Amino acid sequence: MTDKPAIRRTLANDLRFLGHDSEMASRIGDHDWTSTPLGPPGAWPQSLKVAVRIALTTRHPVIIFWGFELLCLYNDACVALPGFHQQFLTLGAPGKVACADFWSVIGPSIAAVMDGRVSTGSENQVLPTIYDGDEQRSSWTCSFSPIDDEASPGGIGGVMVQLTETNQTWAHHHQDLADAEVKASQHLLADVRTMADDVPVMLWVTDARGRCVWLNARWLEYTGLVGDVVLPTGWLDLVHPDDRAHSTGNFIAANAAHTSYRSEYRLRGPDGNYRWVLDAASPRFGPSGEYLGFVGSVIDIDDRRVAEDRLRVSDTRFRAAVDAIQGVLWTNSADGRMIGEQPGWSALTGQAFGQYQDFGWSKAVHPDDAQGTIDAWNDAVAEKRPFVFEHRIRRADDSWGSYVIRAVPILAAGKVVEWVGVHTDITVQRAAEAELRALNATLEDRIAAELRTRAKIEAALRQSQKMEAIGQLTSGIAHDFNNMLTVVIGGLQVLSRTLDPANAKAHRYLDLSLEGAQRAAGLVERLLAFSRQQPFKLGMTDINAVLHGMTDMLRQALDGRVTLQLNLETTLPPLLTDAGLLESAILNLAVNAGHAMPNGGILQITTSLVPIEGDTAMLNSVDAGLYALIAVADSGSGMPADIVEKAFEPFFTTKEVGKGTGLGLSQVHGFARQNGGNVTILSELGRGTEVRILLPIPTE
Amino acid sequence: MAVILVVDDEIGIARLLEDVLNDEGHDVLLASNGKQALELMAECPPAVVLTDFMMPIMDGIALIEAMSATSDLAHIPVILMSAMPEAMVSNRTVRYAAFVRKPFNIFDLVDLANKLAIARA
Repeated sequence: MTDKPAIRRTLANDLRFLGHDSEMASRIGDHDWTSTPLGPPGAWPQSLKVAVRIALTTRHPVIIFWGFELLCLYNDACVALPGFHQQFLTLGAPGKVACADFWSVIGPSIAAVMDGRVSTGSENQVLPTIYDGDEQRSSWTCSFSPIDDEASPGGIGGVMVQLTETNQTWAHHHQDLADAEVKASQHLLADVRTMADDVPVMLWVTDARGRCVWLNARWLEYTGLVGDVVLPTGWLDLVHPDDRAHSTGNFIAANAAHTSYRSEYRLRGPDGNYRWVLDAASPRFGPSGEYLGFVGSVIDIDDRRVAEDRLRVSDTRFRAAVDAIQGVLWTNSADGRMIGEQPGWSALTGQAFGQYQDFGWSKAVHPDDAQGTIDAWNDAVAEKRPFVFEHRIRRADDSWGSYVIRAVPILAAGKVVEWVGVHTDITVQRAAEAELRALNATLEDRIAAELRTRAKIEAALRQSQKMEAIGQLTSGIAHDFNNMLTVVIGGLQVLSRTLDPANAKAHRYLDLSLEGAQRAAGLVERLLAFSRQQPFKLGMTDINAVLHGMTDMLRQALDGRVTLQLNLETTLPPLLTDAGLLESAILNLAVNAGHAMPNGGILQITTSLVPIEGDTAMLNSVDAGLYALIAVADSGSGMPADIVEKAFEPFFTTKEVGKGTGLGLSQVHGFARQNGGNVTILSELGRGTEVRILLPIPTE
Repeated sequence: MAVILVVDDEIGIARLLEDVLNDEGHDVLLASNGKQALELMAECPPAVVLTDFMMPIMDGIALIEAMSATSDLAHIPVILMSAMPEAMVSNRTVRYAAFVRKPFNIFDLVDLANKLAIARA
């Protein structure tokens, strides 16, 4: 070992502490230390350099463990031990790795020295050793010495272990041990085979080429076959044809890769029925690492598979039920966090996987509901009780929806394994409830409005009844007056004929009396018109034509400063009325309007077709149906409400005494009522008045 | 020359007509309602009847209908007098010879009665 020029040449100046005369010096010098906590040897602490120098120069096996990791350095004497460095020691590796097989023997002593306790030693320590590929045991005396290093914690940088093989002891011990082990292993093999046949698990062994070389009794019993038939590949015939391809493929791949194998398939039993089994195997290796084949076990999982199938059906049913209630299904971990894929939740909220994990889902909950939900959820999880809640969710399309949540803990052996929850969309119900609430809130307003309408209808009815009563009274008076006037006029006529024609003065008085009586008769006629007892010359009448025909007469009746406007509905059908009375009613209204506009203005006569029904019919005191509306509107001074109320009563007038009979509007009223229609007044002080006559359109 | 029955509850009208018709040479019977008129006609059937429309106990319409139902009276022409328009009467009955609206010209009415009486004679 002293003449190795190559080694000497490669050592750099800073590695001179390693010396020039050892195999290990060369190895340490060649080793790449930069990736270890030690760094390059030139920079090692002086104390370590000294220790290595001592180790490399002694003939006894010496191992140095350095630093916190107890990195391993050793000398040629260790290397010289047959198989020692190949199998157990690795230069620069942590001690517990490099000396894994006997660390339990030396590790505690090394730790004691590192802790600053005294150096120690032990005799006849049995350490595993490999001789010519066979594992043996040898006996050693070990001494453990601290390596002082000021820079290290506790002042101790490492431990030097010096080994002395007690060869003689080992030789006898080794031989005895070997004999004993052979016997033991033979017994063991027999025991194992017996045991393997007895275990309630099917076992099998293959060789390196994948051929089955052994099946235990349980396997044969399970399949009802004997070994000769199924070895080496006949067993494959018992695998269900549908499962054969994938299970064989798995096996061949594992056999080629020398990796573990696992497969589920159906295996035929003696009764010809197939049952599901789980087949799992591990590769076997020889002492030198060569691949030997598989040893595998087969267990019956048919009950589990059937249960799984049932579970799958049950799960499918459950999901269908959830879909049917328009629910969104999700699961949470036992401690109440959303983990893993949640496709339903993701589809509902549009949240990506990373967004809803843990409590990320709460970001999709309405800000006003989020904290309340989290608090209630945490309470339910802590108490392991079903969770029922309601909140609003921002859906994938950014709309808000109301959802009721029901979640239950799934228990196994009294422990929560996960939570399953369903979000059910109740947006429509909540919206309907809100609408109902709003409706209730406005109920009082609507009732008030309804009551106002009723009040108007009642007022209209009262007005109508009042006019009816006045009409009957008027009619009675008119009838009696007519009888009396008949006597007066008849008497005057007889007197006029019998009186001496020469008595001119008497004749003048008679004529005046007759004239007065006949004027009284005219007044009575107008009273009868109000009480709907005027003579009617009914005929199909085109209202627009009547109005067109009146324009000259109306212009003459009106002040020159009043502008007449006609807005006539051209589709107005003819209706049954007395054209002459209609004309006089319009004229009556136009003259009244003119009086309301002493300084001029606009008189607008409008016709239109209006359907009248429901409350409108009651307000107008007419039957429901189609009507012609004739509106005569002025831009005059208007009337206060109390005047409007009495405007149609006979003898009611706002004009000075002697300037009006107060019968004009009452005649218009009688005309409209006698036609089956009505007349109403809309008036506003300073804005003008509009009188509306409604006349029914015949249905046929 | 003929017997004329005047029926009216307004006594002034009845008396006026009685005088004028007497002047024309007719015998005049007076009744103040339909019932009285029927009693008189049972004793002495007239050539013409002048009757008011609205009367107590039995009005003009009822009288006309009763006459129509009695064979001895059905052919006697009736002049119906009313303060109401004919349109309001004609929907109750059409069994009258003429309608005269009050207040009437008394000589026009007498002419009408004369014509009907002559036609009957």
